[in-house]
Amino acid sequence: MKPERWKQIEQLYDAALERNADRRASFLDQACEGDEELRREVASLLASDEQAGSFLAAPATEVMARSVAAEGASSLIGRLIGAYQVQSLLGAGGMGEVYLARDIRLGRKVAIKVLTAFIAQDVDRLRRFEREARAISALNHPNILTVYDIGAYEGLPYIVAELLEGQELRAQLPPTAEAGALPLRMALGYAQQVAHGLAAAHEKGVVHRDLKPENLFVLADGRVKILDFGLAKLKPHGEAGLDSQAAAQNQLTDPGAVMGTVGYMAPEQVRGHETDHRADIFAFGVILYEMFSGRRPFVGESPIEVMNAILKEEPPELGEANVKISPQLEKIVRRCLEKRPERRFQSTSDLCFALEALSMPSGSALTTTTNALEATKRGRRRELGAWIAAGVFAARRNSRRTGVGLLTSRMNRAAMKSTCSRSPRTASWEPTRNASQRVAAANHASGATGGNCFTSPPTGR
Amino acid sequence: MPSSHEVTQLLLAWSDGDQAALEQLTPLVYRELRRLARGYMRQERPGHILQTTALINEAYLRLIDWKQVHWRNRAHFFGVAAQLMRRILVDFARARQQDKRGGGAGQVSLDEAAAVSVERSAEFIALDEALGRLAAIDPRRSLMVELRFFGGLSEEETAEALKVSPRTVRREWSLARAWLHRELKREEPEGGK
Repeated sequence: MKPERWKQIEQLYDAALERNADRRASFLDQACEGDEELRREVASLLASDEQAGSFLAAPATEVMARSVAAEGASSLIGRLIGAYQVQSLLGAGGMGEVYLARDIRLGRKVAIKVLTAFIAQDVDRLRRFEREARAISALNHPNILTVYDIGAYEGLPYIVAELLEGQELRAQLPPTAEAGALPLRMALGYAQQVAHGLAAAHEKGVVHRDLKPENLFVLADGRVKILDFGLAKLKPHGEAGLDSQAAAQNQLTDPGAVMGTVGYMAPEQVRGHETDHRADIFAFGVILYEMFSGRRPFVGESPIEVMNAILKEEPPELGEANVKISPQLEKIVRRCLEKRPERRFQSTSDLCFALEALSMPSGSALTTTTNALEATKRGRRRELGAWIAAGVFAARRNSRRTGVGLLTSRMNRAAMKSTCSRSPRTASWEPTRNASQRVAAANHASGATGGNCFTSPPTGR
Repeated sequence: MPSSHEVTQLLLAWSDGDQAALEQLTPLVYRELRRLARGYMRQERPGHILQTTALINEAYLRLIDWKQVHWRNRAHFFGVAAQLMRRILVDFARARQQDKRGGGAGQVSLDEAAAVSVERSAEFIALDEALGRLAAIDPRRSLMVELRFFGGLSEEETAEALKVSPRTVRREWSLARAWLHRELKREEPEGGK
């Protein structure tokens, strides 16, 4: 095509577009002055413009990524990651996806978490994470998820761990304040187990930094395991702008996601100061508060409000929500929730002892208002032997399956006694979305792209 | 994993004709692509539009150290980045198509590409070719599409790269898009030439 011709087409096209659609035909008739070919060319381009819809509206990367998303919902399934054959998706959460996999060397089933949310760009951070993972796996503590292996798959860090059956503590907590607290004994059992796990980790200098009910996993037998130790450190901090932008996006799209994390931050974390194990103690206090009262201690309409509450507000007394709360327990929770780290429990072992004292027969911590509780206390010494035996049995049975340590500690008694009312399911870290939801999401992504792959959803940019 | 600083260096090297740089950049883009795809799979729900833009911007920022670019020629760099994205994405589509046909296996690491359908890939390739034809008629419009569509640049950034006003970009975009859309329609089986 000659440049002059193209120039002509361009001018007529632009001029026609400036006119109302119903005037364009007569305009072209007039402007083309019998040049039928020119008229046809411009008219066909105008028609094409009308048909184009959102053609090329979204960038190519997005189009391609959507294609991949639409059809590759389970793209890791069937792949060999290290020595692990990925079999099915167990769940997906903020930091990555958890798959059921088979260790081809040992022939056992494992859970593998691929941290797809970020790329291991920061080598230092990844090394620190590896160091902590090693420290944690060396603990071999019954209340901490057993990590078998770590590595990187095409730049994505992954963690291989024991496969657990049960549910997140989050699933057991009441969705609304009206629904009430957890049964006292059950809550105390969970609390003691988590405290023991935390204490063991803190002793080795490993801090969790993202303790929340989503990271506490309750097994079918009532044992609790802390998940995702050290993962919080992998989250990018350097890109503050991006972080806040992403947080804002999340807030708009999924308020629960940000609120969920924000609500467990210690004041020093909110301020962006250096944190140590006492931040975990604070988060633990929030979890205690939630378990015992059925309410969140720090609430707000937005993450900012929640953070503000964490910095400034004193939560209402636990006893207000749950009359069975003893002053001793109240005091423990308060001490965990102190704004200043130096006023909290300074060591997690101290916290453990304090919680242990609550359930001692001599302690009057659990209030004596319920007859049932009295009866339990009277019967406790007699039952003790039986519980220990049961605990060992449970641990042995479990160890064969998952390689957990042999002895469950004394603190597990209460938890084991209180059986989980909800039906357990196979799950692991952050199983927040099931497969069908994912398929639905993928379908949505593909459906939105319509007939042509370069069109974007009408609501797009 | 290279830092965004290194990525920027690689991009500049590539724009100076260093083909080896492309080999190092390609897997990074593939990885970003897959990361994005995972983002969509995980987060996409009806009515949640903002996510998209955020992810794209993030992907772009992740790959390039813009601060480093700033004192150099930003407009030129926009062009280089867009050209690179076009090259890699079209290669991705092409390789995927080959893979489906059972040929060319082993040429490129195609793990990441394994999920794109042949049809979509074909559209990418068709667009790339149509863009080549447009370049023969109207180089600026062709470049504009490369910048906006493949480079993911905004109207303003595209204007900056082309050294024209955003208004001009807006006006000229329409014809470019209409022309390309028509070209792609023509290539559909029933359409004929």
